[in-house]
Amino acid sequence: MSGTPMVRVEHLVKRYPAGALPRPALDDVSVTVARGEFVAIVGRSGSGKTTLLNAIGGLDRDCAGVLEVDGRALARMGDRELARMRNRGIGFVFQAFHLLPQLTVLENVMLPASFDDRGALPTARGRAGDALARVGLSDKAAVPPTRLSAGEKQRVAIARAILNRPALLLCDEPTGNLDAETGRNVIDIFLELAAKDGTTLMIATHEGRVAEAAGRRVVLAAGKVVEG
Amino acid sequence: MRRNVVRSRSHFVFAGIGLVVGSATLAFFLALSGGAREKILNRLYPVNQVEFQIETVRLFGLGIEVPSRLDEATLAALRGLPGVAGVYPKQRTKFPARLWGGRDVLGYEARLEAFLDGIDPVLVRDELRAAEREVLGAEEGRTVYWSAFRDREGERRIACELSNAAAQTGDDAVAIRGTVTDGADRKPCPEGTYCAATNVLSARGFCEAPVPALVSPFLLEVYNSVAATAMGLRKLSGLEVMLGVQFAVLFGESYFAPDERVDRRVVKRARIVGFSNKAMEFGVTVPLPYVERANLALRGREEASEYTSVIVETHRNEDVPAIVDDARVLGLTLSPRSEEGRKAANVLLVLTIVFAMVSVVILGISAINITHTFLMLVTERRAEIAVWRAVGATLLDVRLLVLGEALVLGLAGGASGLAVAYGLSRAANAAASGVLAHVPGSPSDLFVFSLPVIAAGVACAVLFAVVGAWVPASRAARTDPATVLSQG
Ligand SMILES: Nc1ncnc2c1ncn2[C@@H]1O[C@H](COP(=O)(O)OP(=O)(O)OP(=O)(O)O)[C@@H](O)[C@H]1O
Ligand SMILES: [Mg+2]
Repeated sequence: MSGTPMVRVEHLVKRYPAGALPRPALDDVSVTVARGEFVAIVGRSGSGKTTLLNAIGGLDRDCAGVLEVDGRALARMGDRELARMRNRGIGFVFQAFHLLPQLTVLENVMLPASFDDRGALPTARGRAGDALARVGLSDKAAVPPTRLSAGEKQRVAIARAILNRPALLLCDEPTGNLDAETGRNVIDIFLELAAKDGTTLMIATHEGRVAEAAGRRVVLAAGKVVEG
Repeated sequence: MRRNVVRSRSHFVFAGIGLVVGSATLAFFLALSGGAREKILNRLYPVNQVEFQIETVRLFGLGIEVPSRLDEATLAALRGLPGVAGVYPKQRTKFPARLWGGRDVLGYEARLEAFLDGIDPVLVRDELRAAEREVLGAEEGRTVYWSAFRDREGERRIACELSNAAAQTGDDAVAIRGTVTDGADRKPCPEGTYCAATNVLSARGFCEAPVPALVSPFLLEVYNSVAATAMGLRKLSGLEVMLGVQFAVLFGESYFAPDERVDRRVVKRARIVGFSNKAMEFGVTVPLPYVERANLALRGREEASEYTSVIVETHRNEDVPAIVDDARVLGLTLSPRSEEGRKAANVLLVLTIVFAMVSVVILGISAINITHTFLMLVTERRAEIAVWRAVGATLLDVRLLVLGEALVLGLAGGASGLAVAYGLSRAANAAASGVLAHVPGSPSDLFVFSLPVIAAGVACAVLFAVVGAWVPASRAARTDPATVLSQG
């Protein structure tokens, strides 16, 4: 593995438009995540976990400071490059799943392939099948996501995130809407991804057991890193 | 994409109705305008032909040389103009004449003052053939008339004589054919010819085919609607009944004007072989050489070499204005008929533009409607758009996805609009057929759904749908994925 870290954040400041908060949502945050690392980002509600993940994933570009993913500075990337990076290099998993109800499970998982400019569509069906198998949902491929349980939905969302085998997975409270049992199930999937594929994981969470599974914890409080 | 359209079908139907109405209106009026141009206007006034006559107002004192004659020299000058494809002079008879005949079809013998117009047969050949085919069908196994419209006098010179000079003004078919005097066996003139005496006093002459004549469809219309009604006569059903009708013309004798010297009066037999909008409206149109010869015989060389008007055919329609200007220098002006054609074309153009603008306004309103609907849809689908962005959609992708849906909507609206326009055009044809049934030569289909009309109908619907979706597409691209996705 090369020496460049997967994620390098230095002196990151994020300020939401005036009036919302008196202080910046992220206030001089510096974090470095090595390749293959499993990092839990913890902190109280409003501490800035989601804001940090959105900044790293390039979903929120309106921040100051150094932000590098895989050695590349996000600030210097155009929209096309950033979109390509989100398509191939980064997978997102959200607390609210965000599956598209009008598509089947398989089509949801295939969605990144429709924005892949490598002509990836022909192989997408096969790869989506593999991804579904990894999360144990091969039998639900043709079903619309509205007919799945919460745990199953989140597993579909993970399958979608790993379709293009990204090096970095950004997960925002992936177990927040799940009961303990299904939550554990999802954590096992993450652990397997880290172990087998060497995927770098950054997971924002409130839950102790997720944090325990992680190799390292970064603790945020009022927009500052207080530990990690 | 497909599912998105299906999911919001009711919104789309609502947004698309304006497109359907707009493109239907556009296609309907463009097709009607095309039909009017192609099937009525261009038949009455061919686009690449203009007719000139001598300018009646002379430009005295302006230093411009105006020829007083439309003769061979003027024709040669016209032929030399750039863009001119053909020059076809016309000449009227310059002496009095009267005609009688038509008992077979009218039920009585018509007696009329005869006005004869001579035209170059080449000018009407194709048109005659097509018109004849339209009313009589395929040429196999029936009498063909149009091909007889040519100069037939010099074909074969067989001397003949009539039983007496008076026989030529009678209507006894056998007497008119006379007897061939060349041979010893005293046969009548060949089938399809008659014995044309040198003048009304003479019984001797040559076997000749009847003078081929054209009439205007307008004449039949006038006869049916005015003359037949007023005089309680039989109405003529269609143009075809006129084909083959024979009549006699007496050159040099008039119902109105003083007659010519008796030894210059000649009787000719004529036969109608076609009808054309280029034929004189109140009169008979014959191949030019007949008129030239008759004018030469009755009026002399000077008169016979001066033409009444000239039709100039151009290579391209765009050449017409320049040629009109050049012809003015030669002392020629547009004939009333050509002038009328230009005005009619201008009126049609203005009407087409007005109706096209009405359609564009309807399409504009539907575009505004689409903007509203799409803004609503884009707001409703913010989460979906944010997911696209998260999994790798560029801003352009998002824009194109929204515009793509507008494109589908536009295509569907345009296609339905065309279908509606076509349906309406059939209904309009059916409604018009009742009115137009007794107008000879009127088209049964008033519309021309040409490729440009179809393309315009669909393209305008697509264009306005895409324009309408432009702002919503930008709004979609501005969706902030971070905000949308972190909400539960
Ligand atoms: N779009 C926004 N506009 C203004 N302020 C915002 C916006 N999003 C977040 N904030 C503020 O920024 C701070 C950090 O929010 P963030 O969502 O990152 O917290 P979090 O740690 O993810 O909290 P939670 O655990 O509740 O998800 C909060 O104080 C929040 O009120
Ligand atoms: Mg959060």
